[in-house]
Amino acid sequence: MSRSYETSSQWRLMWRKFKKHRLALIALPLLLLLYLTAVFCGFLAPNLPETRFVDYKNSPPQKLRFVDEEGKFHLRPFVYGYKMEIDKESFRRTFTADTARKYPVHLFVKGDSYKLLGFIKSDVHLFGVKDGNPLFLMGTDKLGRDLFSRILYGSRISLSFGMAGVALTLVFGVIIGGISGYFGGWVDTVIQRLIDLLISIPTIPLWMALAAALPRTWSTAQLYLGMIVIFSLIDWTGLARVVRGKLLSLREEDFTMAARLSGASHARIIFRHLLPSFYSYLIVTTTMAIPTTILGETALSFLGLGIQAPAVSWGVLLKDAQTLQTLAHQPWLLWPAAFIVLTVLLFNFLGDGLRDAADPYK
Amino acid sequence: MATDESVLLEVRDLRTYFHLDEGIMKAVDGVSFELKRGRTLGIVGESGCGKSVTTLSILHLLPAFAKLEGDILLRLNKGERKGSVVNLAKLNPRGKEYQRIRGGEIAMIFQEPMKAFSPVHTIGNQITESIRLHRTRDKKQAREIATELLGSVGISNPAQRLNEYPHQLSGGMRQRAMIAMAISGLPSVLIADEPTTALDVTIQAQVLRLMNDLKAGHDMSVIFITHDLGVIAEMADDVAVMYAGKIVEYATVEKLFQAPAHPYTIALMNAMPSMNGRGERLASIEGSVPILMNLKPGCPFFSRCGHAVKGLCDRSEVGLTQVSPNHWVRCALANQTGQGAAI
Amino acid sequence: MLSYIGFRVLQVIPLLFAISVIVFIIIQLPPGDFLTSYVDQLKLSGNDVDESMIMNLTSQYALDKPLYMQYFIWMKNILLHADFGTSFQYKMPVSAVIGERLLLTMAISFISMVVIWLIAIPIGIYSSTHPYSPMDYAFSLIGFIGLAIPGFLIALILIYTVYSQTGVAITGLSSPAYAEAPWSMAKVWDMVPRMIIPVVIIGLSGTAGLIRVTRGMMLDELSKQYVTTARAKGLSERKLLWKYPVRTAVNPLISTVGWTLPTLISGEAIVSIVLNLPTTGPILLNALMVQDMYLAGSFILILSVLTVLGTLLSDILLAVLDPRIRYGGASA
Repeated sequence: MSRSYETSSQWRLMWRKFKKHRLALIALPLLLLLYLTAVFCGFLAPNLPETRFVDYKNSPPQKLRFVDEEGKFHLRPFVYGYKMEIDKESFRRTFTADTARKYPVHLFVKGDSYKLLGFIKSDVHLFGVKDGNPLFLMGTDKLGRDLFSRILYGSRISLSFGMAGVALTLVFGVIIGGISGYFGGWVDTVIQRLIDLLISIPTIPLWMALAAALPRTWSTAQLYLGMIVIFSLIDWTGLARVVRGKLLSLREEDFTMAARLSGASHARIIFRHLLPSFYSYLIVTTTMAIPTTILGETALSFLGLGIQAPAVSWGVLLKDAQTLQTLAHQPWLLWPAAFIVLTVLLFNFLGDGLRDAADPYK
Repeated sequence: MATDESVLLEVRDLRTYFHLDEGIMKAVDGVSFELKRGRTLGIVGESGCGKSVTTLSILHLLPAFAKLEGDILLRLNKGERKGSVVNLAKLNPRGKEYQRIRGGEIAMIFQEPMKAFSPVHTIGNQITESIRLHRTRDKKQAREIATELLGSVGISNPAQRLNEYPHQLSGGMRQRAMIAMAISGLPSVLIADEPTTALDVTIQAQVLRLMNDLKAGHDMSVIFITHDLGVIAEMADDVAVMYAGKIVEYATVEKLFQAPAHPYTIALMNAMPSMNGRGERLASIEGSVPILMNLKPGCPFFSRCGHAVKGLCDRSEVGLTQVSPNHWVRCALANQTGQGAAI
Repeated sequence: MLSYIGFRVLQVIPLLFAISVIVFIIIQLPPGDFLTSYVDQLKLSGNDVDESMIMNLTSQYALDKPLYMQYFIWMKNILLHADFGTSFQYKMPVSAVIGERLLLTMAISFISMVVIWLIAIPIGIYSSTHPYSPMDYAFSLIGFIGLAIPGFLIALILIYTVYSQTGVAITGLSSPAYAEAPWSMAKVWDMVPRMIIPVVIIGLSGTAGLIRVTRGMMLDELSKQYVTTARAKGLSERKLLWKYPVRTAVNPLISTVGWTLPTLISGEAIVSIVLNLPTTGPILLNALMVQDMYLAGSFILILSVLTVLGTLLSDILLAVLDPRIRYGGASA
């Protein structure tokens, strides 16, 4: 019928509008890249996240170089080894680049074995240095673990958490908001008061309290699921309000009446007729909610309330950078923050572009 | 104009173009007319024909992307330079001089009084503001004038109404208050942009009568914008029919109704319900006003005109021709015969 | 007007009740009651456990009674005696632990709010009257970053940047000389400059949000008919701007207090942990870590109640300012 034609032309219209938003157009492939990185982190990371290089605790990032100390250019990039010195007074170990030792960086290097996608066993890494020499592009932590590799591995939890959290929020929001808006009356009133209630409790303290109540004995997977439930339980309100508002205006429209007269069930009317009429709106709201959820997980893990070490997420990694002392001596521990900020900004750009696209009248 | 003392306002070749992302929109494209002392000029046309933009251009109440060309000559009616002529098109739209003219020399009434009043200020506050800008700085005196004005436009309990908010008044009352506010600066020209469109029919008649009374009582000239030829017949002395940003017919009200010459004017008249023609079906004009952007050459009414001649009407720009004294028409067919084109 | 206020106040009561129930549930969430963990804690640290004290606490909190009775007694203690329970970690009444810190949290949140308004509204107005100008774009960009990056990350980055550039540590609220000192004018005075950083960090996202809202709302108002009316009267642009669109846009802006306040308090909780401020954040985190639940629960309860009251105040203020609500009565 003409309906399918109309929807397809609407999508095309949105795409045309979306293409005009330059930042969003850049953000989309970059985000895809980030998610692919998370999926293939084992292959992309030169080291394993839990491998401790005991000789290189708290070592600063190595620079990837093309030009050596004599000014000679090398086509193959290389890194310098470390020279360790111990401060006589503070007994603090410091590392400097040892120009005498050059480690060229090779592609497809054999190293520690990992499981790609969780089941393909491999020991080939995209890049690395040979003979087990150190390659720490973003330095190491206090246990001598490679921060760059840990960030790549951490992106699995951090990035997927945003998606999973928002997916569950979407389910709650659409169902509860749908019920509220479609049935109206006292059901609506009760749900609206519930939303008022949830909104008036400051979010972060509430998150903290609920996250703290998760049993310490839980495994990472259990904690991960528990956190997702906590987030969606608090976050669905905004979405539900939007869905309700849209439904309230839509249920008065002709096609709803037509569907009802032809004997369609409530659920059928909601899911087949009402929801499709604001898919675009849901997509925008969802895109904007993903970075918020990622940040929520980061914040709680950062505080030590969410996902716990030895699991790695960006928040868990940032936890190491909490005190002024570590920041002063190991500022590279802030690298995870850069990834968080980048991801969040990209999602915001994307959401902004989608909003422009979904709202052709603005 | 400099010589003819009876002309209060003369608009010459006014062009208001909107510079949009999509291109240049010629909302008003070469409009000329004059307004004589004590007379009412009616501007009539469908929505989107440029009649509102024409009057907004006179007071330069236009968005930043609008570019204005041409001359808008106004004979000042008060102040030290009383009697001299200023060209509003050359004035700084944000300058002091223009501010004195807005409300003081030329005032405006808008279509929807609910939207035209600020919802969070009292009626009194908004009317006295105008009085204090143009008549007296004294607060108390301004309030007295406002009370008197509200009474004179037929609002009961004026002193109490001053303290009320727009949403507390009925639609008709609001429009009366709007009129009171417009005349409170003692303007010599009153521009009314569809002042009765949003009102009930019975109240429409009352407001029209009020406007005619005030016009006589305050020695004002009026520019009256409407899409309703019936209102034109009742209110106007001269009429300009606008279509697609241009005046297509310009005549005294008698000539226009006796011998309409432009096919568009005739079509408008046929679309009007008449008193004696009972049971007739109302004619409507096929199609709609073209979007005023990238127009094809030739008469803009071409595609909707029943008398259009291919190869003549769609060729080049059609000029305004005088068909009789005080009667001008922009129609290629009228050009040829020198007579009303369509009979 | 009075009936409207009365109606809003009545609406708040069931909300407060529901909040108290939720907080009570939070307090009960950790496995075992707080007494068990208290006793465990004492035993772990090798202390003798005084049986009579356990008995005392058991009866005080009715721990041997069903849950709804426990809730009832907990509420009664709070409402009648302002007794929020005992913090086993500090071994003193919760109210004694909370008092000063809560005050500082409120002070910082409130100052942030004022600062947000002072900064965001003029910028929002400027941006709306100069849309798509270079400055407008610049403010939008700053706003974007402010909205996207949470306070605690900005705090972290700022601490590092300031320390690496100047060697000054911007954590804490008092300089070492005053850290343990009792309250005095000098101590307050010492705090003022140190408050700037948390205020700026906490206020950043709120400022960004409010700029966006103000700009949008002003653009909306500026295109309205009544602005043209006022201009047609001969009002100067400046007077017109402040009297009409700004005045009209202020109303919806005031209603944003409802969502800014909880966000601020929320943000303060986590920023204060990073900046190590003597406010509610660090102690709430600590209480949650060691499951000092009466302490943690009381924080959440009080912060929530303050949020509700703040929203209520903003609603009443809105009614005072907006005749449409005021005369619309309770139905509006």
